Amino acid sequence: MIALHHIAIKQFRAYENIAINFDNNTGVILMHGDNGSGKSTLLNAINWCLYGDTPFYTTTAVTAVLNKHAPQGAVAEVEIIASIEDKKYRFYRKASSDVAHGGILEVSYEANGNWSVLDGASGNDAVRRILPKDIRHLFFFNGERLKDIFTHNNEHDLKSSVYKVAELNVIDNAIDHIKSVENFYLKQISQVSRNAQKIDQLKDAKETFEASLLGHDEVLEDYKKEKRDYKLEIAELDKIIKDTALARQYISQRDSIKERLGEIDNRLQNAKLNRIELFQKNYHKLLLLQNTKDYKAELESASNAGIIPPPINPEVTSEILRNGVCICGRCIGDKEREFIEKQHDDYKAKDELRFLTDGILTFANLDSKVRDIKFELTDVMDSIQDDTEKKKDLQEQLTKINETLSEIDASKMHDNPEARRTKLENKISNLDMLIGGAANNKLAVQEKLHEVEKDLKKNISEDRSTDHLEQKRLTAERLRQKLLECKVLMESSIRDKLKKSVWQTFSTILPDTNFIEINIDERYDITLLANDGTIYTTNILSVGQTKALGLSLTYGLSKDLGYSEIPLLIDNLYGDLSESHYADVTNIVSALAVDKQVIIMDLNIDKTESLFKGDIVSQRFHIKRSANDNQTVIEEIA
Amino acid sequence: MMKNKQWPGISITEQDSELAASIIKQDGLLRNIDQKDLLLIAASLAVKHNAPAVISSPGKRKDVTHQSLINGDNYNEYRQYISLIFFQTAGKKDLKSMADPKIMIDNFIDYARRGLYLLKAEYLESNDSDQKFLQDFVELLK
Repeated sequence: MIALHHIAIKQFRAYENIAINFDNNTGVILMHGDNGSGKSTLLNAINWCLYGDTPFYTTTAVTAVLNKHAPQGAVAEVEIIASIEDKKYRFYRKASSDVAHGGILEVSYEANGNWSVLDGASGNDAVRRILPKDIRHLFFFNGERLKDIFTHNNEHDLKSSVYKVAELNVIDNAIDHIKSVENFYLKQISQVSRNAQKIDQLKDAKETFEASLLGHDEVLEDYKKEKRDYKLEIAELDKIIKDTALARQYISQRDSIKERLGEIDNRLQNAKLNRIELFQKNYHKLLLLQNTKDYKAELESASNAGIIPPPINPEVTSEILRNGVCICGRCIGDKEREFIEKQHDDYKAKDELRFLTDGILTFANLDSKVRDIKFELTDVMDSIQDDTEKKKDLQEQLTKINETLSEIDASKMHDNPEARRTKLENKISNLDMLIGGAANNKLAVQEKLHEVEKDLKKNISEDRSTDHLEQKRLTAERLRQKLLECKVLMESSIRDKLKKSVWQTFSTILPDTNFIEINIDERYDITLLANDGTIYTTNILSVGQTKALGLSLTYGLSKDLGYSEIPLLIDNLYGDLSESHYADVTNIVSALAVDKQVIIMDLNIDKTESLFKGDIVSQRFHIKRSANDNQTVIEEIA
Repeated sequence: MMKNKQWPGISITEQDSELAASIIKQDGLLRNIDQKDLLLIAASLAVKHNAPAVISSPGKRKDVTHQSLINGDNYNEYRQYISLIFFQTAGKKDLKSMADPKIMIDNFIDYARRGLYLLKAEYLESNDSDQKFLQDFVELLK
């Protein structure tokens, strides 16, 4: 049982300071007052206390709730004491100028005669136990707006109300949540599938990169092999260059030796010719000189023996001399010359003597000539010997050089090995650049491959199977289906109950009509088929009929869905209602008041007093303006 | 007067001339030697080795040195050698003949022929003739 016991209001709108108490937990509490007396303000004050808003005003500013005559620094305050089950709770809200218009709610509960303040969450929970905010429009309402329940697309319409009361929106939320879970699994399945595709792509990429890497390796190996070949060729060229230089040196030496040999040959030839000439010119002289020496010895021997040598004979000598023959072996001495000249004075001045003298002198000089010949021949012979030896040496050198040169592989000689070497070095330099480039390319491919492998490893480590995800999704789907079925069943049950309420209401408000069928569609539009074929819908009902139907639905909802204990606070119940429907509405309210408090605020106390029969009315209050018309006061009527 | 005595020219037989030509053609110490110089060497060799006389074959003779040349100043020394050869051969016994150039020329040709035949044996028909003659030449210079 939930019941309001005490309401105190201070500086709230027109209320300066009032306090009322409700004595009973059930029954109708009538509160009447003129227009503008403060009935709606009371409704707002209760709402404000519990929920922090004033739905029955159009303005929500703080100044709107603060009594405009309140003294400086005053705060608006509303206190409600209610019982939930057997426990009393105190709801107290105040708002000052420095806080939001919602103010601060403080909820306390009675324990051992004292009020213990609950924390925020517990306090809000207590509010929800009195009346959840979402469905308060079904319990705290203005009777003139009860028709909103049949207007679609607002938070007070029937469908919305049913959903809130039956907490079908919770099921909807659960269904949406499960749907989102399903979508999550679907996304995961899709992601796994995409991952599988990605893995395949990564594998393809890996294979491509590996193939590319092999290609780079091959290119690099080719470059390196080419470089090695060039280096080997350079090494060979170096040997060739060296051999060529050596060969050139030997060839130069050979040419030089050949030249020298030529010179020596020429000298030898000339020397030999000189020797021949010497021989040809002088051999006879030497031969004859040898004979004259022999003869000289012979003459000397004869002279020593006292034999006058034949040349001493003047006649002969003169003849000899005339013929230019020298007695050579004797080497004409001064005495002999003197003798000859004395013997032939008559020839002194003549040419013949001179001729003879010259002849003698010629032979007299033969010795010196022989010396000259000897010297000349010695020179020639020495020259020949010297040059022969030199020639021999040079020929030996030449032989060695030729042997060395023959050892140098002439076939490998290059026309210009240095140029070829430079060219090869340039090629190697270019190859180095190519190798560098290829190595960089390889490195880049390796990095890409590494990234792909890393990515692949990461992806492969993830589960590629979608079975368990599909299983979860199916479980969620089944749960959603169950919830949907549950919701359909609940809605069906609610509809059935609503149909019952509607049937009873229509039977009451249209007692002369027999209804054979009632339908509540998905939008919660109500259609009734009468036996005469007339179709009734909420659109064609009068205001009274609509209000009665609304109340019956409220009654049905609150009673059948577990909210029968929540008090009703109805402002202006009969406001726009024709008198013909007063009784219908009153009957419904009376039925509700059996189990709960029903606080009805209306203009006319007499009208309401006449409608409610018996002792269903438990208390009566009069809301009115004070004498100075500035404040509202509430007085209980005995 | 010596000046008035004309020396006859030197001529040798064709056979001697051919022999001389063979010697002159041979590659050796006597190659291309002037024929009159060859005769002088031949005569000197014959004198030194006391070569035996060679019978002269009759017949046409060939001039080696014409009379017009041998009496010239350029042949003074040549004539002296002819005289010396005569002196060293026949002259030892017949100095008076030295006053007759024709005798000395004949003597010279006689010894020259002897020498040519000596050269034929020792030079033309010898394998080491050059070496022997050269050695002899050197020996004579000592």
